[in-house]
Amino acid sequence: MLSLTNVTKRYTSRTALSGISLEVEAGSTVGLLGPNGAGKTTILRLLLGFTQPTSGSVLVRGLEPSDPESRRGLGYLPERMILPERMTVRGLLHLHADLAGIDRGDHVRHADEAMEQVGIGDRAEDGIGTLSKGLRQRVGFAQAFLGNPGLLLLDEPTSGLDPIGMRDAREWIAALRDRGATVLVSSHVLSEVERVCDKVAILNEGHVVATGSLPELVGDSETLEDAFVRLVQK
Amino acid sequence: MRAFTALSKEALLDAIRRRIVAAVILLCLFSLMAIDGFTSCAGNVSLNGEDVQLAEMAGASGAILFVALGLWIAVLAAILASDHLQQTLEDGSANLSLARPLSRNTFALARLTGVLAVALLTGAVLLGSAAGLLNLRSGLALGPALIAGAHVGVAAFVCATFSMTLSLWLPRLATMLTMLGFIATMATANLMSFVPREEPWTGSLALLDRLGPPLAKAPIAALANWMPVAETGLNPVLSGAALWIWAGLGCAALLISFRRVELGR
Repeated sequence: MLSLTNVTKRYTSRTALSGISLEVEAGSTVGLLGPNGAGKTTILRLLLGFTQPTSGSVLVRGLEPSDPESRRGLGYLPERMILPERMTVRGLLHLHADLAGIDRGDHVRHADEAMEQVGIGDRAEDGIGTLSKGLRQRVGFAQAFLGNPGLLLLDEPTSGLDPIGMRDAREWIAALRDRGATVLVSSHVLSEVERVCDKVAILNEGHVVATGSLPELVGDSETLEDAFVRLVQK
Repeated sequence: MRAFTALSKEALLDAIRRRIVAAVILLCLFSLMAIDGFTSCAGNVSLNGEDVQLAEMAGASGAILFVALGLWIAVLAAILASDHLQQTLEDGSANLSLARPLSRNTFALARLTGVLAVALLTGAVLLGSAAGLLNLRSGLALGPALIAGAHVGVAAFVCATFSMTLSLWLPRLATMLTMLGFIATMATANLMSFVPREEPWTGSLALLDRLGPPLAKAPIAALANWMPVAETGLNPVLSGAALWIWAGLGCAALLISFRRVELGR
């Protein structure tokens, strides 16, 4: 489903990724773990075609990310987003339904489903400018879930959410996994990844230092945090 | 096409919400009052001791009015475009849209459409009023005004595309100042080309006049029929074609530049 092969990404003053390779199989939920600056967001940006690799190959469903078709049926939640305050929640979702290529006749149904899924069904006609930070993050989830995408890229999805919201977000991601969607979650919240992901890739300083299922990476007497610290400091 | 329409509508609403649009509406009102005054003047004029009919002068003054309004529309398009795309990169809204199955070309052109809709609507109001009043009060033909208006529209497109392209690399203020300087220099070069000379005109302004986008020259060329006594020596087809070539270059520069921009850093 997602494939990065020997990918290097250099910016002017630093190297964000150094020859990494990573495969995400269809239907799996994979967590990208790593300290700040490890290269997690850069991987998502490469997969979305926001930036080009300096070398190596990136494929999304066998297509180059520069091909808009690679993003059909893809939901994306960025770490930071400024939603247009003048729009209503429903207005934003209808706009994204248009951009996603969803038939006009299905806009209302898909928007309602997405809003219900993230618990903002009663705020459909509210202006985004009137919503709290946590509710705006839920609107972000709703636009990512619009049209039941088969592939989701979530960048630090629980940032800005309160503990209840974080728990809800984990449940939404688990629900996506259960219905067979492929999910790539970038996070540095270990508990979040531990609860929803069936595979983890640990990054540090632009290298993939470990990949595998949680039982493969975490030793018998270890927690995920212990394993993370051991692998990152190795 | 549906994505383009939806994004263009959003881009237009974004453009309308800008503070500058309130200033544009105010300036439109002042301009309309000025056009009304400009076209209703009466009196006796003599040139080199001979009486001249005001109708004969109306063509030249009408052309000057058209060029001035055309440059104002180009400036408006450049100012609006100076952050209309860049802003979406800064606030991340471009990322959300471009995570959908649409190309960067579609996104950039939709943002451009929002800018142009405001600029061209303003142009239609101002130039349409001027042409109507000049026709009613001085009997000037509407056909040349229509062609000149189309040239003004293409000139606004040229300025908007280059302003949007520059905004991808420069801060907003630098983009605005660069574009204002460019439009002023280009208009000066175009107008100086009409100064009678014994020797061929040379120098950087002459070069700019020959090779640059004829922002002022193309509307003047289209309005040559309004000025039977003045010899502009311009070929309206060539001037119009030059403007369209610059429009193509501006569009290509914008699309190629936007494709190279790294999003979401």
